[in-house]
Amino acid sequence: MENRQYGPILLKIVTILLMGLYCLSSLGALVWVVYTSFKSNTEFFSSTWALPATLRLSNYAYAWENAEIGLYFFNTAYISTLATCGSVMLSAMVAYVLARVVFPLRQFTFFLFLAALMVPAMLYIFPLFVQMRHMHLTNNHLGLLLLYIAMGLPFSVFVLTGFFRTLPTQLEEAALIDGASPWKTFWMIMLPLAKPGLITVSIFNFINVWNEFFWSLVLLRSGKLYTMARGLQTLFWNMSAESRWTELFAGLVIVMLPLVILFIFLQDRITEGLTVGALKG
Amino acid sequence: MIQRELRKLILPLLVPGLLLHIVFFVVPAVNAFYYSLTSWSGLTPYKNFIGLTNFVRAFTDRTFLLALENVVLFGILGFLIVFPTSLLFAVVLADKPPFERFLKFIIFAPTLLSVVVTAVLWGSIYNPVIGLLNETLRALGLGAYAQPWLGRHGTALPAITVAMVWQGLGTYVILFLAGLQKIPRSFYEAAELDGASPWQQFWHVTLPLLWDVVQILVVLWVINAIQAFALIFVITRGYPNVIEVMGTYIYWAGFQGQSVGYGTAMGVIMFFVVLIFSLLVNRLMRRETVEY
Repeated sequence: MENRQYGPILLKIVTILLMGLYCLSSLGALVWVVYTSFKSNTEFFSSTWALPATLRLSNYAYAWENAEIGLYFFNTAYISTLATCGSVMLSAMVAYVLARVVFPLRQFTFFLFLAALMVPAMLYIFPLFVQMRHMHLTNNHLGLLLLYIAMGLPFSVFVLTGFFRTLPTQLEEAALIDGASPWKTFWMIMLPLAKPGLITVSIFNFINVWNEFFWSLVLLRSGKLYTMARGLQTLFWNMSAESRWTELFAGLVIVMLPLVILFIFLQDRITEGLTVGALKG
Repeated sequence: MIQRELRKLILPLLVPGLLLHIVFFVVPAVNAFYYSLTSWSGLTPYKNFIGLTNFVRAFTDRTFLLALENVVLFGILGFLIVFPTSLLFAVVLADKPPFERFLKFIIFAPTLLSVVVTAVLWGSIYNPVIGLLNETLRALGLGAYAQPWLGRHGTALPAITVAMVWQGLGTYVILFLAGLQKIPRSFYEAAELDGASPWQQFWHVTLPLLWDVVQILVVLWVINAIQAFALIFVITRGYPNVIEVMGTYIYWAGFQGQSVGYGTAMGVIMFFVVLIFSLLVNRLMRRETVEY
């Protein structure tokens, strides 16, 4: 099949050049960060460009141990996993009811979730913070986890409600008429059918929680509790003040790596998830 | 009969999620409107009701107005860069160029990274002493242009916009790509039969059919710009003086300036700005959508 013509040739050539330049400089910056993370600060200050003389790993040891990025990695990993499971499970339950059960205030309930996608967080940060302080949910992981689960709901409910609506109703009708309880019908029949939607939503939630910065900045005070985004920010502020760039870059690489690897393996699924995610507005 | 059975699910399935949502979103969001009418510092047990005083204060507060202006500038400048770039990149990617997967990887990967990563990366690029940008300029013999990019409003604004665009571009390329792939091939065949040049096809077929995407893109970009916080907060190390935006000013007011009431009032203003903007774009652009 011949190629579609979306645009004129000249425009395309200029764009290809531009795109090449963009990708090369983007890649260049990343390569620079990676090889600088193997240099010593003395090497770095004598030349920003030069390659490291030896492949020293001491910056990584420093970032992982002394700057505690290693600890933050585990904090982030377990919080992201639990929060994703929690949000996806709760939102699948909510979405099923909103998609299938007719009850008064159904539209309103759906709207309550949808509203959170449109309201800027800056509106309610102070009331929420004060409320969490009253509930003793500041400066601990439980508070962060509950908040992340709650923050994942609106988008997941929105996507999964749409997803459940596309599933045929005959299956559950048959199950219910055969005497299966609605509870069982949901868990054994409907939830497995929603798997593609659940996966998309899980990936989206996981990435969001993994990267979340604002609430970990606001809620966490003790360094031991930090997530990676928060840890990297602290490292950046401290290290750039002390001019210890190479350690900072090692930390930066450690923080970037998991998502880059995830993306390499799940490129198509993630792009699809991002499309759905971007269209949420 | 079936509905009666299904209604038994409301309690066990709907309530847990809804409760969490109410506690962590609905209650604080409603409370915000009350907070915004008080002069609460965040320290005392009482909240003093002062009516609309905070709102009057905001619109006479030079810093707030500057923050508002910066947000608008980020929105406009960023859009002028992100719109043509993402459209053209999508057009090229839609034709499945060589190294397609690799190109997509480079363009999309930044959207997955934490804002903090973007801030640290670009903060290092713009650093006046060791920064990649100044070093590149010096290597090219343009050393005279080397400068502390984040030190002055005039350079910090475009510099941070570029970082925002770098992080956001992938999302917009994906949106345009999805839009392009929906356009039926027959439209181009018909246009070709009618003797339309590639330019004409681009202007009269591709662009009008992407109008929906453009509308989403405008809203998405501007809303993100209005809410900008983390990138600017981190890249300026907590002192966004030269490039204060609404997000950083609100954060400062509540968490450092002991003006929770005032900070929340500014949050309420942000809420209305976003709301009015979305409605406006919807109204202005809706009727020009082409149905196909």
